[in-house]
Amino acid sequence: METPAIPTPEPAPAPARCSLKIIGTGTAGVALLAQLRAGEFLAAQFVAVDSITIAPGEIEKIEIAKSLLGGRGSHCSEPGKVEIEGQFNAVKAACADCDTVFILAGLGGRTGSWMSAAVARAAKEAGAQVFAFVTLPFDCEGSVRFSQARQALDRLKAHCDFLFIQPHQDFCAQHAESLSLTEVYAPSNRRLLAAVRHVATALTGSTIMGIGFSDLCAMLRDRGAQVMFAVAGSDGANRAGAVIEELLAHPRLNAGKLLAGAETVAVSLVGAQDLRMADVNKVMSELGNHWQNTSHLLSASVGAAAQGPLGALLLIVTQEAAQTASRLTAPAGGAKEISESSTFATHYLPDETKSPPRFSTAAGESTPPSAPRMRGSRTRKESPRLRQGQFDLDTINKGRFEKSEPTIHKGEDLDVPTFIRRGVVLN
Amino acid sequence: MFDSNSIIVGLEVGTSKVCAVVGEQTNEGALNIVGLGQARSTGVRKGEIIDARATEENIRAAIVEAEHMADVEIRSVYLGVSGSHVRGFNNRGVHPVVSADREITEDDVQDVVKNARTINLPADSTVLHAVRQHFLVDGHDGVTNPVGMLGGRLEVDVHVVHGNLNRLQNAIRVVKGIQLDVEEVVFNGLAASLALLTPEQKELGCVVMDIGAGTTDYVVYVDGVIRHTGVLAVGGDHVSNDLSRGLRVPLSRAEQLKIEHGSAFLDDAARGQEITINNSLGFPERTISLENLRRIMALRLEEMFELVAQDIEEANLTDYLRGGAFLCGGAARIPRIAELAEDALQMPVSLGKSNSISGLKSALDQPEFAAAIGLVKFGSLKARRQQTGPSILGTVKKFLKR
Repeated sequence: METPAIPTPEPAPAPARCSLKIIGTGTAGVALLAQLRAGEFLAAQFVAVDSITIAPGEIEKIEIAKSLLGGRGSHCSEPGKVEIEGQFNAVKAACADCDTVFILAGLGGRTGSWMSAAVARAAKEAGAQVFAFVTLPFDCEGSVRFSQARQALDRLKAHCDFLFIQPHQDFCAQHAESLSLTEVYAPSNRRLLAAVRHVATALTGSTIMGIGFSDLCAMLRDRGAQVMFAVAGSDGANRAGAVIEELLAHPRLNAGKLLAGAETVAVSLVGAQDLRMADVNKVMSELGNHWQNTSHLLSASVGAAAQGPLGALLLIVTQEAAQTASRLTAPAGGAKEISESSTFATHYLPDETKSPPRFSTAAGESTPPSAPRMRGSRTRKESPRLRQGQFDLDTINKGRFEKSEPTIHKGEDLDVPTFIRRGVVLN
Repeated sequence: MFDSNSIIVGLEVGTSKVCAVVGEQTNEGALNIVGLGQARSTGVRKGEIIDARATEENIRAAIVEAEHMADVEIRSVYLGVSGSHVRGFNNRGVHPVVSADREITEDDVQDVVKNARTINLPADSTVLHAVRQHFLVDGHDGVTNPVGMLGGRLEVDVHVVHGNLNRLQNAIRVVKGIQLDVEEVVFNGLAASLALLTPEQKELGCVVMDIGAGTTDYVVYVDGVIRHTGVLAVGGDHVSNDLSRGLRVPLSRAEQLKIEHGSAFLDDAARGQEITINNSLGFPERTISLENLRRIMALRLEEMFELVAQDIEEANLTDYLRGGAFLCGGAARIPRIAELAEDALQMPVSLGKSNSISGLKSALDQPEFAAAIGLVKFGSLKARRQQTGPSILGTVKKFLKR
């Protein structure tokens, strides 16, 4: 008797690889995620990682047991406690099928501070490109939260391809009078989410002019520190003008004066198929009026849509901003600062834009650019406007000048070796 | 033994060394360097005293050595000072000429200079120098000596150098602690310029940079008068510190490497080369990259010059420096530093020499003694003024303002 042939089942089609997954960690991160989702940002999958997952239903949830985080009030619990294999593997599995992972978190608290680095590591091990978008606490929230936030940044930095940092304090001065306490996070959250959308568009779109956004981030990551960002978007006939206006209104840009003192400014423009050369020219020429001799880079990408708004993202590298921000945000305890080495200018920029021109630098090594500074050690009158935060990677030992009165020249500590401040990597 | 009345001593309490220079004023008015004493400085950082007891001992050692060499007993000194607290700016004084005939007298000149010195300084600051630049009579600019002229309104532009009173007093107290009188306190940069520059060079316009271990003092002359002074609290110690950090060697070894292998330029010959350094027993310990050593040095020195150039530019004086720049101080010994400075300052640069003074060749040729020699010259000018009485006051001040 012949046995009937059993039809071989056709292999199930492999799940489509997701290009972008956005993971919110902690209460603030999940809230940002929900806002992003509510804003009909559909070009990604969403995952919430929190001890209390109150995210909307369409968001995938990975719940962290409260006990793993040491319970309420355990702000100083060690990160190892939360990196329990089960949780870690769950995150890793969630990231396995995507190319790019965005992490949203508010640093300074409990889950966001501890879990964001673990998530970044899991995503990195899963082979994804990792961008983190984080907020920092207000100045008035105290040194403990700042210390927590800075330590979290330190951990996060090790596993991220690029960090976008938005201190809540940035827009405090502008909106403190008009906003209630429940609304006070909105301005900075809005900017951070605008940056998320911009980066997502830039990564998924086609780079038409300049260098790709991933390369841009890689260069700036090598350039060192967290780079200040300003984001803007506008539609309509005079969209380039509106974008410029919005960018320059950023409190840290100080009406464009910051650009003049910047070491490097990278401009990322995104738009739809209707993005015109005139728009690019206008944005670049208007910004050029402010930055003058500053080195600059352009990345212009367009998406698939026929029409859409013009978006601009400025990534600004400035030593002064780093030090100002360090002064503004450094905790009273003198928490460790973070930064990276500089190979950006020497490898990617024309010779005439570099300083100093005589020396070449080698890639790959990291050097910390500035010394740590105690919170409140300088008078507040020196920083009338809030500036971008940059964090150095390592504590700088000033050697024999460690305990002497620092030689500060235009915000730069001249006691720190020049080769470190200029980011020259020694062979 | 010299006549003690004709002996003038300049004492520079520097970051790396304490230096006492003994000068003899001849009857003809010429100045002759007859003695030199120096000691390693262990109590000074960035030009300011941080250990009074150690500094006192260092000064004593230098003074004793100078006394032995000059065969004199030193009783008073002209004390050179520096430090980041020393600053300079220009100010204008106004004085109405009230005499019936409207003739400007020496008293009017003294009064207008006094008015120019009266400025709103911070409470803890004191004026070190108020150097006359030029006068204006009834708004007419460029008057060098208004005495005897007619006018209703006399004005004078002065360059005021001031510093923190307590920090200056610290230096004075240390010197007085070893039973020495301080004749006058003088800004080191000004002293160095007195030693190095000729009247022609001052007229042409030039900058003197005294690059010491702890500070870089600079003085800018335009049209024969001091127009700008400054102190950058960065010097040779910073170079050593950078080397120590960059090459991962102790500070003392970094200092030694700087002296033995240092250069202000990173040339092709140094690329890829290595230096073997030995341990205390003389055995090879490790190798370090000559290229890195010179790169670190060049970066620091270039930055130093750039900062000075930037300051001069901000004072709008760059275009007036036709005579170029003159370097002195210990760091001026670094090979090829003048070339580097030329690149950074965009003007001719040379090492300064105390040509207008005679005496010990060993002292006059060394750039690190320029400030101390200048102190002696400052003292000689003051002594001449005192000897010749008030009528020569104007002449001396005219010289000083150069």
